[in-house]
Amino acid sequence: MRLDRYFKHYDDLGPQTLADINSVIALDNQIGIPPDDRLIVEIANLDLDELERGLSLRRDIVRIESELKLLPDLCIKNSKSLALTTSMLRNGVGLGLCAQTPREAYEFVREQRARASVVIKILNEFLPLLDHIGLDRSYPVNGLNAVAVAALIASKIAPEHRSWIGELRSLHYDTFAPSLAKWERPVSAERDWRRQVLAYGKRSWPLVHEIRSAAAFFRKKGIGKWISGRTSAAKAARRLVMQLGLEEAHPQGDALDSLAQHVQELNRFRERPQRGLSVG
Amino acid sequence: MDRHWRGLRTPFESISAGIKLRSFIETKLSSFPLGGKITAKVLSLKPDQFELLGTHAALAQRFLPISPTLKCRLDGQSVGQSLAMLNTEVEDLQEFLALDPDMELSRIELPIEQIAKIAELRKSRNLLAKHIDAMPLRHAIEAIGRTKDRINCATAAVAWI
Repeated sequence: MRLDRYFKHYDDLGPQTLADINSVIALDNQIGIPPDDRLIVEIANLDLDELERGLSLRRDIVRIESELKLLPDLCIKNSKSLALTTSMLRNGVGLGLCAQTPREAYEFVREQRARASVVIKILNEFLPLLDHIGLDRSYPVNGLNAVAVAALIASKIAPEHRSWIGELRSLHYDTFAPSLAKWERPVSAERDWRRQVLAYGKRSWPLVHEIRSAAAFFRKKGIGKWISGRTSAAKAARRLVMQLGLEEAHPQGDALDSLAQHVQELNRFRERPQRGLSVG
Repeated sequence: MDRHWRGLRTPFESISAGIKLRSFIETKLSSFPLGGKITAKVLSLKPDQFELLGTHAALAQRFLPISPTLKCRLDGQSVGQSLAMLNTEVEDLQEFLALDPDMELSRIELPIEQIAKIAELRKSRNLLAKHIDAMPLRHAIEAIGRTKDRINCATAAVAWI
């Protein structure tokens, strides 16, 4: 009865049979339920393709904004400044510092730069030094310690010794020591003698036989000394003692003998230059 | 030795000092890498060259404390190679610092990678906003697409129509 009334009222819809009604139902199913009437009205007259593209862009913006909300807020709003960090991550140095704050990274980089600059300066300063000892920039860095220590040693060596470092290179101390000892004995004795006879100065010593003659004269006693007292030998002996600044006395005989011995040793030393010394 | 013979005035003490110093130099330098080579070079120097070598003592004193660090970093490299490497390193460091000459970013206490991520997101958002700004329907798009839900509804409505 109700269905009959419905058909009478909507007679212009067209379905006259049950099959017609099924077709209308199928069409209605195809159309689906409209999402929001007001929205349909709002957009119905717009360019739907452009609107769809625009909504897709808005969807991305909303997604990005929700991501940004989860991240800390930055005090700097200038996008250009913030974009520097992207450049930093493309930089070889920055890539290694990505986990640090910019302040920490700047500090670290400044320190690194200062350290590297110091090393560059020092290495550059080494170049003339290397050149000076016949080396160049191909010399290994791990060998610079030896160069540095050599410079320190060189700075502490007295000028008078510099010329002897490179001399007689094959001469070793063990071989040289006996010769040195042989030299030291007469030198030491000479020093003592020169001190004893200061008045004689630095003049060459009298001849050995002259000193021995004088010694023999001064060793004489009593009549013997009196007899030879006026001879030329006695005069020479007295002159020698006077030159040496010694007092005329009996013990001078021994002293003069000792001096003669010393002068003889000096002569022997002078006469044997190479024997025992020619090691170089 | 013969040519130095002067009898008692032969410079035995100088020769002795020379031998001792030579031995000291050899011993001291032999404990360093390439010490033998440097010893040979030093011993062949003339007195004036030796004096000149000593004028570099201040450099040596500045060098020795940093030597262990250098050994770690530059071992096996020549002075020339090291200089080239360090100059490049300084240039790279300089380039990094030049990216933010006013140190503006140092006010942000966040890791660089996080700032970079935020910067990238902001950049992408601005780019998308620019695209929308260029569209005739920009006002409608902004009004309709304010939230994710509204975008979903509007997209469904477009599809429905």
